Amino acid sequence: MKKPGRLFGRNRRERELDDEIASHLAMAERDRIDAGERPESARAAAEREIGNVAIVKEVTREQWGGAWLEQLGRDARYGLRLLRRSPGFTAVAVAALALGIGANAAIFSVVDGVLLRPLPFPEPDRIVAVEPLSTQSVRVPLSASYPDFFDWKAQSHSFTAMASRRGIGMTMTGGSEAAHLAGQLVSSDFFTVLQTAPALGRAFVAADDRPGARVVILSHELWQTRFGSDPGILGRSITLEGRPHTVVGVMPRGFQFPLDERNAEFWTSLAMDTEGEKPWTSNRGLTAMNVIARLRPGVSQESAQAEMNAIAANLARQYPDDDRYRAEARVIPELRRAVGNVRTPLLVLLGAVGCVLLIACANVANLLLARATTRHRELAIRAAIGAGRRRVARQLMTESLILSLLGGAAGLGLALFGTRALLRLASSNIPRLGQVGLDARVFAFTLGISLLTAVLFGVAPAMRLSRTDLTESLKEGGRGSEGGVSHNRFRAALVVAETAIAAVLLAGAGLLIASLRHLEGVHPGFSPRDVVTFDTSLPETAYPEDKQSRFYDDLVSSVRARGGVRSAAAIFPLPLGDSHVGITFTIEGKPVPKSDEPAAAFRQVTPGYFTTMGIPILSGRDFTPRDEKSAPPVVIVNRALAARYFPGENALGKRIHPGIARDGESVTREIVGIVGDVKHRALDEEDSPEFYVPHRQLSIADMTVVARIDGDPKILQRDARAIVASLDRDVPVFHVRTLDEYLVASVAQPRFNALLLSVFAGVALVLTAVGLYGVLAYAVSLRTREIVIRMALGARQNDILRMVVRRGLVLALSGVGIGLLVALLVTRLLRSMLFQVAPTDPLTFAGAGLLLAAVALAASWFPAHRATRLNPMEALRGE
Amino acid sequence: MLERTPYQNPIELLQGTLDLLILQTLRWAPQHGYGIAAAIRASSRDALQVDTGSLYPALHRLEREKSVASEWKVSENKQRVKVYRLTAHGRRRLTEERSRWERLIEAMSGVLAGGEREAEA
Repeated sequence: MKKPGRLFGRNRRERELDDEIASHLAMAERDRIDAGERPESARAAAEREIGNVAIVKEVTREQWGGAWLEQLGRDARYGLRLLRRSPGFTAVAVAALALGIGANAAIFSVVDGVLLRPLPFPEPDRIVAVEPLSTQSVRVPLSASYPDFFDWKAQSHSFTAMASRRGIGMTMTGGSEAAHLAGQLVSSDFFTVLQTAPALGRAFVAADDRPGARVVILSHELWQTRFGSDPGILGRSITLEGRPHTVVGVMPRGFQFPLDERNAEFWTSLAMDTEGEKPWTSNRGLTAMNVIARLRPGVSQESAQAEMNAIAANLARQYPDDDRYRAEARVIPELRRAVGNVRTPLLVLLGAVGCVLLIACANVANLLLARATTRHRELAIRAAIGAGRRRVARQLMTESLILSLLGGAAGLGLALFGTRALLRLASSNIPRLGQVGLDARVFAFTLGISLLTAVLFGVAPAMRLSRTDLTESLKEGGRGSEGGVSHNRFRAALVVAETAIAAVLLAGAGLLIASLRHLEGVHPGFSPRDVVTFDTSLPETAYPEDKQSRFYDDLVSSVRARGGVRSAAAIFPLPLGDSHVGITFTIEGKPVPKSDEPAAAFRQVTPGYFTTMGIPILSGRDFTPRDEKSAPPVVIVNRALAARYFPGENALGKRIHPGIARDGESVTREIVGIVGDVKHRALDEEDSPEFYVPHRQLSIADMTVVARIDGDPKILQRDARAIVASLDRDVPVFHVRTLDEYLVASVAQPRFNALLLSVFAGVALVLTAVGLYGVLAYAVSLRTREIVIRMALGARQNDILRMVVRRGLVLALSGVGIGLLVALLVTRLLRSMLFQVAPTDPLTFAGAGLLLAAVALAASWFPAHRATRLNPMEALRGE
Repeated sequence: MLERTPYQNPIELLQGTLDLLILQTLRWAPQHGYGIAAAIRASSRDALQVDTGSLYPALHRLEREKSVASEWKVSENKQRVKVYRLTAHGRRRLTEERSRWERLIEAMSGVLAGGEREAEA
């Protein structure tokens, strides 16, 4: 405070007021003694005459006026005194608010860190993603091909820079142990788009995109952990995939891009993709790239969008074989793209905690109104000595503010734990979770909602109470029962509103739970129990094709030879893993235009894969070691492919021609087996066509070993590295997991959503029950006289019980009815999060309603039971 | 709850009349709060009893608008007391309040006497 003198003056004035009242009391006592009263009774009589000293002082103090702040301080001190005097009320109110505010602060910290915080680059709003849109049936964003990207870049004028990127894994050798690193293969403009320069060295330049260039930029973390922050790292050569790469830069600490993939440990130029007989950079049908760009200043997203659509439409006409159904290109903010999948769930959760806070507010408003009845006298006196309505309302609002700030402070404490728990629970596929924490923005938000909360729960009681008919209250001698009745009607309305909100939350949570149960009930097509998996990656320089398949044959045999391994095989890509390969194919004898060729998921496997995974072979045979290069080309298809493309026929013996792009390999293959469908990308997807080729006929450098174990999977998990090292020390082993873990990870996000929404719905349920209980208990206390008279007139206990419970149920059921109607409109927002459940699933809605009704019944029973046990004599005397 | 009801005055004071009573009481001599209350009660023959919860707020309000001033003194009983006295401004206010009160009485009596006279605007 700037003016200690004034504060001191205030204290002196306080002391003087104490003295003044004390002297008044002393003189009154002396006069009574002088008049002949006995000293003991004189003191008591004088005190009685003066009345409530605290109130006298308080109303006197109010005359002092003074600065706005000083008045506020006085109101606050008075409010604090009052709250201290009723610790039970204060505790319940603060606890309810802390729950509501804490949950909001915790969820907001996640929403802010993930959705709202701008990208950590200069002018982040200008960074956009450009994605081809499928114009065949549903408009879904697709990956781009290099030739398309080059044409976009050359023909567009809306951007200052445009760059391609794709995630890759590379094996680094030369250290003590081969390490598999995650990275991004980017075009040279990548860092120009982000306008972020390396902390050490240089960014990529155009020359780095040419064949033969082998340059790499390290992440700060990789530089620290693998190279001991060596300042002389620039110009050094490191071995990636068996080839030397020159380190040209180290990015600043914390730099990451993209945000929705595994954290990159390095960035390399696209030189690699320009090499080979049929390089990726000249294959328009090979689509694996993401494109980012920076909008030119003054160019809007809409005009860039229009330009890109025109360019895409042109390319579609020019290259119908590859681009016919890619006639549009979407321009969206990169941040929006990266968090697109988690946006709806996070906003739904934010809405849910908002609802919880509303319920908490209704509860506190209820408590304030209940307490108000006992305060009628005080408020009446304040009004009688000329404190205006506004003055009284201000005092009441100050008290609400104190409550809400206390609740906010406690809520922030809860949020500290809540956010930590959220981060632990959250599935790792929520981008940017690392940024989430309680910071100034979250504090500001918490303060903001605390103030808003005070308004929400404080205004209605303050308005109602300051309007109190003063003379009436005084005449009633403080019972205030008439005001009580009208307050109770208002409180009943609050309870109905609470119940309605709780019903909406319960319905939402119920839908997510039902959806999760459906999801977990989905059979993935393989049997996930007791299967250990690990990834390996062969450096292509050291492993030409024939050596690749031999290595995996040897690896699978070594794994099989381990004790406890029932069967083993290798595959790429693993179902529910990170990778997905889709390839177009043609059916012999059924020619279609190239643009209309069907696509299917493509897998390369070793013999024994289906047995190991528990995927049924429905007809035909598995691959055998004899399915090699020199043998007739074969393929195994899944049931979905057979059913869709060979309806009513036997697919066995039919021949298809997969358009395998990478190695230019293109042969017609005979279908030798039909296997069961497998969920390869997600449990909630429809069964779709897939085919498998034997790895000896088409080998690949990266595969995942799968092994079915008898007994403890940990044994193989521990041994995997040793087994691989015994074959080749330079081959890294990574992602050592079980199939169950993949399965769990695939439902982590829906489980997180369902769990959180259920917790919030549960909190809402408890708060609502407390609110209902409060209103009924108070109603019983108001109607005590009526109840005992009824009993005296012969009403049985059951009648009383029924009377009170009926009132509770009427309130609760009105709330449930309104709530479920609202839910009918609101749960539509959940549609994208639901699997095999309609947003208006009647069973779920009925369940939510029943649960609420049951809780309401329980909450009503206690006050009702108490009413039946009223002792008429005592009750009436109490009046 | 066993609550007493000391706030019911035998005659309810009209809003604003308390200020007039206090100023009038202080006209001849400075007085402390208890003394003012006692004087009002005595001179009204117990008809007007000033409630402490109204008296002190009124005194502090009058002090704030500088109609009265206060100082601490020691009474004949060796009691430290806060004594209020009328200021020049208070005297002017008393005159104003008095004439307002008299006009009110006049008007009221006119009405109560049968309302023959038309109320003047």
